[in-house]
Amino acid sequence: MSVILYTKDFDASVTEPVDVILSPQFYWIKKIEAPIKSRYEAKKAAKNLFDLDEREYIFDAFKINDTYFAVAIAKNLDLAIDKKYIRSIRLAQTELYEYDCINVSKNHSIQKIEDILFCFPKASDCPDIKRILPTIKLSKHKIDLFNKISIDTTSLVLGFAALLLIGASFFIQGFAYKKELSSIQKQKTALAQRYNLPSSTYALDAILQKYEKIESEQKRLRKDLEFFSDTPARKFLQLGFDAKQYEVTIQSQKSLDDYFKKRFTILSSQFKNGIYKAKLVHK
Amino acid sequence: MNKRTLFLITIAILLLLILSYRFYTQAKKSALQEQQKLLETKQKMQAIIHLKTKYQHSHSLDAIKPFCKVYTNGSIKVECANLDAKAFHRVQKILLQHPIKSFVIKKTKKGVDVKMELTQ
Repeated sequence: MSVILYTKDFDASVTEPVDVILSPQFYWIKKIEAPIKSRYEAKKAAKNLFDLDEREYIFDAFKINDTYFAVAIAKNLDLAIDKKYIRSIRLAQTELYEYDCINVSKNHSIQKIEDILFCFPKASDCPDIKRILPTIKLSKHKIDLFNKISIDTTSLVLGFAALLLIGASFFIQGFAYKKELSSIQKQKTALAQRYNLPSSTYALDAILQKYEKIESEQKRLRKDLEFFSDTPARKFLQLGFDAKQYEVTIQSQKSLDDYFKKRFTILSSQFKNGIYKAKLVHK
Repeated sequence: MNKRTLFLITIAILLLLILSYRFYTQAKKSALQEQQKLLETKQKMQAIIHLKTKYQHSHSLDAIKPFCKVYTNGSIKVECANLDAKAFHRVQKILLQHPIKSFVIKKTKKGVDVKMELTQ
């Protein structure tokens, strides 16, 4: 039962997937006489060939032996078969075209008149559809009856156009940022040339670090000198610094350990005959 | 319209929208990051120039030459002997404008001796 011919007399129960061939009772068909180059053109022409409401009918077209046929099928076609069992919907015109006459039910037959299949009362001397169906070779023409969506084309086009416009604006803004990016890179190079410095962050960091180290060492040294100049005795005989430690010799009446402890670690100190000597390093 | 066609067109447009949005956000992010980096680079360069000028011996040592010997031997060395209080004050003021590596200040009977090595 994989292929069935669906007529108005159809009363069988379908419980497995089937390809449904609609009898001519279910569609309108016309031969397109005008010169047509493609199926797309034929489909467009099909809409004008029938005086039917576009909201209620699906229009399609197909080519058989170099002739285009236009068809119109009601959108709300109600088949007595569960949709889940319908593998495809086809037309008798495309699937049974090679037969001139077929008896399709107790009361009806399909007959070809001027290349179009029509439904007529049952005729004698015609083969029965039950003998034909098992051997039938299905064509590539299918009807998207249940796969259509009714939507206002203008709104749809406007909606898509709006989305495309948003997408395009993102692209344009993105390209503007890309352009800005290359301008920034040029500015960076120009800046490096102006200051005669390397443009790489790594090299700049290394140079900056070197100068910041000098700066912090020099600041500390100057603070040390301020501290020395505030020494209570202030009678310096000698003050030396060898980049690591200070060596002081001061004329004083007492040991100055307590004072120097405030800022330095005293490596060694000596107070003798009114002379205070000390070696100092930073804590 | 065929449901599948509509679905495919919608997916294609949404994909395009997502791609364009990603392209936009990434371009924006990169541009902002680069802008920030440019600013940081500019600040670093200005800081380097400032420090370089500060410790580049741009302040002339000529002013202390009447009192001190100045010579370069890998680093700059300054030697002054028997400075009186006024000269010592002047020398000290000028030397403090330079990056000092080491020094010895010694009080003698004739005045103050200064030996100083400056960072090159």
